[in-house]
Amino acid sequence: MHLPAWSQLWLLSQIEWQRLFLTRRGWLTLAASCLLWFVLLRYLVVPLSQWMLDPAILEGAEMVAGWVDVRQLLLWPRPELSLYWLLALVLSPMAAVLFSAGQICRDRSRGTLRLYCLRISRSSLLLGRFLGQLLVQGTLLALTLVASLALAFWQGAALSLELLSAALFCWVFVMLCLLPFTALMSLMSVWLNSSRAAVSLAIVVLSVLPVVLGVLAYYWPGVLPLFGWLPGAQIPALMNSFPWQSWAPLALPVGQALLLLALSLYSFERRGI
Amino acid sequence: MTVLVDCQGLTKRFGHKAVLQQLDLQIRAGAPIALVGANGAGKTTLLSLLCGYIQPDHGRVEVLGHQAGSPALNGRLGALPQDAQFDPDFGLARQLQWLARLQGMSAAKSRQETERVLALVDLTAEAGSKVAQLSHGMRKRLAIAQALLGEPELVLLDEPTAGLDPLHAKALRDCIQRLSKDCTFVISSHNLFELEQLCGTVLMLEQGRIRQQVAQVSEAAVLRLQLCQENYQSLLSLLAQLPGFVSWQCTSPLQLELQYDAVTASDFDVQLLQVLHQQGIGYRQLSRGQSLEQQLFQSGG
Repeated sequence: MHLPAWSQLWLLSQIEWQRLFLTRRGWLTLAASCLLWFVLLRYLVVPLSQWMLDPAILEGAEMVAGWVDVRQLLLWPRPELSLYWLLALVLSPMAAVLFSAGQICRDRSRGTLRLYCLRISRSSLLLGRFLGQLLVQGTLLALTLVASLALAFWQGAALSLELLSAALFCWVFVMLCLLPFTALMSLMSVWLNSSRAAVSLAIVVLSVLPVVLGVLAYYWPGVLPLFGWLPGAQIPALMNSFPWQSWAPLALPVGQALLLLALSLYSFERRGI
Repeated sequence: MTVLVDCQGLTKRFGHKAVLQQLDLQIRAGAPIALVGANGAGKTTLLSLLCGYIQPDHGRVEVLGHQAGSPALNGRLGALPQDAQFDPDFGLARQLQWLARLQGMSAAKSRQETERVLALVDLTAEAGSKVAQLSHGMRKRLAIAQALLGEPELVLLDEPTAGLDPLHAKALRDCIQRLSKDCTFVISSHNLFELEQLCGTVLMLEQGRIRQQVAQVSEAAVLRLQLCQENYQSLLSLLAQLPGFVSWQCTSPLQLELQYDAVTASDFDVQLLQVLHQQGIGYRQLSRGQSLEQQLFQSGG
């Protein structure tokens, strides 16, 4: 009487997904996401998209803040989606760090993990929780993406395959970018005993690593390519891409996520619960 | 009898403190087994090792023929870990069903099992409640319920009645007695009265080793008599005249321990009751053998 491993993973990820809709903590997450995206769409995307819809902008289109090439953004079928793409690339990793911090540690400090580990392997538990977090983030991302599409239709966009394809691209690529951040929080959650400590350590790691590399690169320029290995290193390049342009930059987050998950599994197998 | 637990040279340290030291232990299927010992003696550590929650520093732990923590034990080993709590944000029945599903049951079977175990711990009425709404004792009963999901061959219970009211503690003892026909319970507790009632064998842990193993067999040569009044001097002179009487000892103000020759006076207890009745001396309890407390702590072992 054993449940196949894939069924265990699916059940565990469903539990995490239900947490979003059935618990107070989940409702708070939903409310915070909706409120944040309402403010962004209403007060940032609406005025900027109206500005970008003006054909005269093509004349003066150039780099903004040295990061974003407005000319590339104008290649998107609708400016609402291109702006959503930029915001999602920047904000979603932060949300992933905040929302997926308690994957393991919350249940370990409460002792609930002990009830699960009598029935499933630790690797199934960790991977199930990881997939559950992706399911939650995918749901939140889909909700905000639908809101952006609704905004585009409200501003006169016509329903087209190109528009839907661009929306699907947004969802898939942002989700792939979230992988290493969610896997990093799996690792932090295995190492530490509280969500707060996990978030704090993740912030330290994500902000201190570039500084350390910068100092090292100053003395040994040979370490400069390592900047390209940091979590989220591909995000600036993706900001200036348009739908389905290239999958190449996504090999990095997938590889990072696999490495971090392997490290999480190794640590989890050896830790007492 | 089948060997359920086999530990060889088990050592576990936390920092510099060795909690278990070269512990050898075999537990066979049968009547419930008690695990006793002072705080810090290593009871919870031993149970955690058996469940695979922690790894030993040295030695070998096999449970039901598999290494502790092996996925092969899924559904065969049930446990009430110390202080393990359910997620307070979800309902009782929902979480038990998840555990049952993870244990490999179908959706219908998991619902049926959930109802069964909730009934066993008298929580049927609370099935839809969230765990956050339960009292401490109810949460404990819920944690016991999950240990009984399915048909485990071995159930490890760490302090099962701590925090339970007397009514539910008794109900749990009855439940364990009933279920112990089909599975073996290992119970860690400080409540010797409870263990005395439930367990066939008592293992005493001290300084990381099994110091003593007591088989709870009926000792026919000793009777314990608990009286209603302290005035028992007249009784003692009558007892001395009974055939087979050897000696008496006052173990507490109202309790006498009587030794007799079981060979020549196999009906000593009947004679004693007749004397009590004739003299109109009230008594609360008459039991055979030494108490577990006496066996463990007064044996000089």
